[in-house]
Amino acid sequence: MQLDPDVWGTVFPELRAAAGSAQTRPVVGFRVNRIHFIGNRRSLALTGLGPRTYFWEPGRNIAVCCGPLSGFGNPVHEAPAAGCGCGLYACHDLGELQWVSRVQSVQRAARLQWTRRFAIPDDQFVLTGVAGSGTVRIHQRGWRAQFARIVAFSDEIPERTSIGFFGRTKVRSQRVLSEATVEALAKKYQVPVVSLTELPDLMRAAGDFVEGA
Amino acid sequence: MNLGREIRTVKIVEEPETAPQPVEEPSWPEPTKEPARE
Repeated sequence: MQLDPDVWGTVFPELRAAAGSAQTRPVVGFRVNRIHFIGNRRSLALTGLGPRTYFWEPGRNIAVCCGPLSGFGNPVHEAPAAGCGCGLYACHDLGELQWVSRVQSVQRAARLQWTRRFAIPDDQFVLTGVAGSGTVRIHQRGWRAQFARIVAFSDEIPERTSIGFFGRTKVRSQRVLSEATVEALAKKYQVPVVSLTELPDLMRAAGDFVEGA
Repeated sequence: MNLGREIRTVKIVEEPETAPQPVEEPSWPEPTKEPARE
């Protein structure tokens, strides 16, 4: 009889060791975090973008499934589980994140026109380089990890612009963070805040990008 | 965030940081050897 390591791995850890070869270098990837300012912008907290999300802390973050709880009030499985959306997310490359600059542009335009009539949350996004470890599920465009830590931030976000009639596209960076926000991020998370071009090299120092996904 | 189809699973065990271990100081001063009296 053969036991599924994903089901029985918490009872028989040797099944997990046998299921996949363990490596020691984390995988790295890009993600976008939402910045929540606290108390007159003196402090901040980072979350993901979705409705069910984590507060990202300095150092190691641990994924917990936010799905239905078991009879004992515990998560039904360890994150990241197969067939579930749980885990700490990151993308393999920046191309997956270019929609963020569009959202910011729309927010800026809306704020200019409608601030007096509608309340628009005064939040910002930050491009984050993260390193994942533990159980890591590799997907086509990114990964979901059991553990992840922030290794660097960028004060810029990639923006795709169309040039000419045929819409030839070019990727450029757009600075999005103020000096005060950069200082607050560096102080809380104790990692560097760099330009978009410097970010991948800093991430390579912390781990390996997924090749051939 | 739609990551697409799952391809594979890897297990990553990060090596613990090799921080220098603190040197234990003796809690009591070592007894000093007195010169032998003849």
